[in-house]
Amino acid sequence: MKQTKLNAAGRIGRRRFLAGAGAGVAAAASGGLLAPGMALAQGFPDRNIDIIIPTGEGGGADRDARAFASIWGNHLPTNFQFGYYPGAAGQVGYEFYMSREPDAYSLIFANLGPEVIMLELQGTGITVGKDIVYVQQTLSEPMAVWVGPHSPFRTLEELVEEGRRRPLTVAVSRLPHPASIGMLALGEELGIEIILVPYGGGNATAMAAITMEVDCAALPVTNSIVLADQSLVLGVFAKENVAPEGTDNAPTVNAALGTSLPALTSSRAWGVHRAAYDAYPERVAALVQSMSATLADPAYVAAVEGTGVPPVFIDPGNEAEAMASAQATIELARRYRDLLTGS
Amino acid sequence: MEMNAAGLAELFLYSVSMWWLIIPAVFIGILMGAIPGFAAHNTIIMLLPLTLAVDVDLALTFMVALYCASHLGGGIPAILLNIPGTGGAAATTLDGYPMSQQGNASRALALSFVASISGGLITSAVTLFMLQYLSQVGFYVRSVEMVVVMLFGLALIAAIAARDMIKGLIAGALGLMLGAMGADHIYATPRGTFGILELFDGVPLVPALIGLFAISEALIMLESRTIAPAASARAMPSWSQTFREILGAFRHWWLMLWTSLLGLVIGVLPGAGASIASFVAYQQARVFSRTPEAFGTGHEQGVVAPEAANNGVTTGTLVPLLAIGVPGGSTAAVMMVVLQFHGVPFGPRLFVQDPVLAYGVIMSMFVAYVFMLFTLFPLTRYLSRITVVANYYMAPMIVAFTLVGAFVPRNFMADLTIAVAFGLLGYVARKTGYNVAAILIGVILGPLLERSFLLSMRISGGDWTVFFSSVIGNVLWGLLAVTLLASPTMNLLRNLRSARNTQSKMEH
Amino acid sequence: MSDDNPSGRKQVGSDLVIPVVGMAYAVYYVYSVWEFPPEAQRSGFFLAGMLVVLGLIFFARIAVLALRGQVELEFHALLGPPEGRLRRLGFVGLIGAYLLTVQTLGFTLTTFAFLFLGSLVAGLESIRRAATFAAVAALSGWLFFIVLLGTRFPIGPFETLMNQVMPWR
Repeated sequence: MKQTKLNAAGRIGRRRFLAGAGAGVAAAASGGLLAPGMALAQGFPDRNIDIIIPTGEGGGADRDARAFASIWGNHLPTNFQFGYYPGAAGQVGYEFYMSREPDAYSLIFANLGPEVIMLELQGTGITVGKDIVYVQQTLSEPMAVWVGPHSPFRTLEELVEEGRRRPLTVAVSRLPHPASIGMLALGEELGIEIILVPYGGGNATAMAAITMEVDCAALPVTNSIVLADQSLVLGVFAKENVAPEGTDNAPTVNAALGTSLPALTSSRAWGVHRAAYDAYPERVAALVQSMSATLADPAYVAAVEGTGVPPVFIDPGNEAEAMASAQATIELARRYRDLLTGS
Repeated sequence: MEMNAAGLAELFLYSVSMWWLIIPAVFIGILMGAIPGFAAHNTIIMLLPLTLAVDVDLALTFMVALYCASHLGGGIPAILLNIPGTGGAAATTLDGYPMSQQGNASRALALSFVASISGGLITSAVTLFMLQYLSQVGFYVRSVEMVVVMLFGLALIAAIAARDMIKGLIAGALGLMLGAMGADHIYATPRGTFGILELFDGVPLVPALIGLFAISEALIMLESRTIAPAASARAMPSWSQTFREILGAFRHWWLMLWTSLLGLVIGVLPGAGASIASFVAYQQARVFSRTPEAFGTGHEQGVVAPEAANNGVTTGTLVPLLAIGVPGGSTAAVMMVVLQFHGVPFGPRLFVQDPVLAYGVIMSMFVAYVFMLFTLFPLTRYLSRITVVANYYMAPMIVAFTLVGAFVPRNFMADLTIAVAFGLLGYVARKTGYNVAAILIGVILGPLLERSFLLSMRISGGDWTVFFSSVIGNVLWGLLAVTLLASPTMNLLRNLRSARNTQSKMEH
Repeated sequence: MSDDNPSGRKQVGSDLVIPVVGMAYAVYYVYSVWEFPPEAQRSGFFLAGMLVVLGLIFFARIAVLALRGQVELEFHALLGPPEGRLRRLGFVGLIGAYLLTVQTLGFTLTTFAFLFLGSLVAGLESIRRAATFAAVAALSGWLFFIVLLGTRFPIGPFETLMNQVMPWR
């Protein structure tokens, strides 16, 4: 620890903090950090954009949405307000989003995999395409199965071997989730019994794997990458492992076990009310244009990397691609409906 | 970084040099902690634009100081107005408010401040040295053991019910039943919600707390002119009296020590928080007290135990984030957002890459409590005056401002209606002898208990014996049995002894 | 059944409200999960059973007393002491009015109106003091909650006007 450095940091910090505090108060007071002129010239947006996150604060969606918004502000001169609406596997967030004014000023930051499955299985009355349009995909990541640092299992084969002797307990975020589907499909193909234990969120799920309350965890792979040496990735549900350095050079599940499971990914995407999409095409166009510019901005790559997510997961996709991802997930959900609903 | 004396001293001085940041954070924290709904994590979320804009060490220091102070702030309205500012202060109302009604508000505040600050100082010092060991607690206390921990908290319902058993149990059961509302933990299907979207995630805690305590209290306030008997609290306590009350609070040092450590351990557990810790601490303090019957009537120990415990939790909740890299509670989750945003690693890597920041977080907690020591004590003198403000001002103010608090955590307008509904329920309950704290305990602990129970059952494949399968779990079961049987047994022994005494007297 | 009245008989009635409400909710809850998977039902069934049993014990106790002619039905306890009863009912009515109007009138105006009328209904006898109190509190609340903290509480004419008056906002 260097005293001089600290003192210097303290001094500079105070001034910067006070400046920041001033800016923060101003931001709150103005209801947004508007770059003068820029916004008014186009007319949209002339106030804050509300970002609805259908999971809790501090989760993966929060992380990715904030990284995006930190750069997006340079391309769309407005302020972004985050609201968290977790509950009922995302249903609360979606229903709340649908109750908002469809004026393209409120957007939902979706985790296509689990949320589309939830919409399909829980009888929410919200239909992808008819009620919500995903206009821009930002990131895609595969599902992974992993264990904590003290786990006796060091490879997927060892885990499966144990699974032939007794049922395996697998921590998952929730039942309607691509990672849950992956483990169930794996169990089905190899004839081993998988008990899914839903912990209701990525962080709690990770903790269960680390403390070895369960045999392993199945989550989007970023969760384990961010945890670094607190996790050992055993396998990835993908055609190839595109981020070997962060994932302990784990094999794909199919390569390790000779199975033929579908690739299971989840994409983050920005969604907007269908009604807003139809009524305000120019607003949606402005949103999409600035989103694409953000995705092409090298600063965005740096921001993503800064949060610990491998930039290789950045997967810009237009509306057609995002909606195709959603459609593929819907089909998966239909196939595994019984296993996921307890019926 | 070596954790030797020189390193510690350096770290301490560094944190002290942040006084200009910590002192305002402490005041904001106390103020926000005192308004139900604005407790630490909601305030920190609202201030995120500010904390994301500055250096990460400043942001963390600010958040940590605000967080600690809000736990302390939550006790103030609990004592003065019977309205806990946070769930963690709900147990404080049980004895703190009776003290205020007896005109002893300033003594109750002194007790709460001393207990909170001592609890915070003790636990942050312990955490500084034992972080790695503390993080191991999660490896031994899992869902199975958590079921027993929750039952420890629920045991408080039985204690509250001691005065009117059937009504106390009905209140607790009603709370648990309401707590079972919302999506189930496995299939996420909404239950008992009347189809109301805002209830899908279960009864929202803050509106329930505001209704049961604040709104019902405001309605009852209208029956009298002031909270404290006008004669007893007319004069502001003198400085020397204030000082004596503060010093006097240190008589409970042993109680503060062990309840704060209890809070620390409970805080480390993922999913457990300040409310559980304070319920358990209150109940245990009662069990081990020489005067258990005095609890609930304005007993000093009943203020000390929950306040020391809920401030012990503050350091505990940061342990999983710092030592493992997974946030254990909602405030820690918001801190993680800030770390992530600045690209700072968390978990064990933080100690390797930036030990000053890692240990600095805990040290700034310690320092924040030191500052509170000097800034707060004068307040006890003035704050107690609130209890003599006329209720025709207080009651409308409480309703208007706590309704904003009901809105803040989720931004749902329906939460105002939910708060008012709970307010009417709480009013009826109070008027007819059902304890609202017992209802709240059920609402808070019910869903947590169900979750741990269902996870354990799933992991064991539906085998009930899993609850008796671990050594720690069995030890906890044993302690729980002792706890529940302790006071009846003591009473029995006391009665036997007095019976024998009278008998022997008669023989002489 | 806590209050003993001069006749020596226990008064019951008010204290039946909580168990009855609780049992009604328990029944509704069981109905709402009737077709759910067992894991979603288990704790609800258990708790509903517990609540119903406790309620029945409570009723049985009262029934025994009633048979002995030792109870008297009353619902006065719910409304508190007779003096000021109308004031308190009026106050509850004002809370209801607050809920109905806050979305259109916004924080500041609703809070002002509520505090003004509320303090008068609660017993403050000076209209001038009530108005001063309500104005100071509502404006401080607006500054603190809406301006400084940026709470997204509903805004109304006052907030909109202030946004226009202060162009930097």
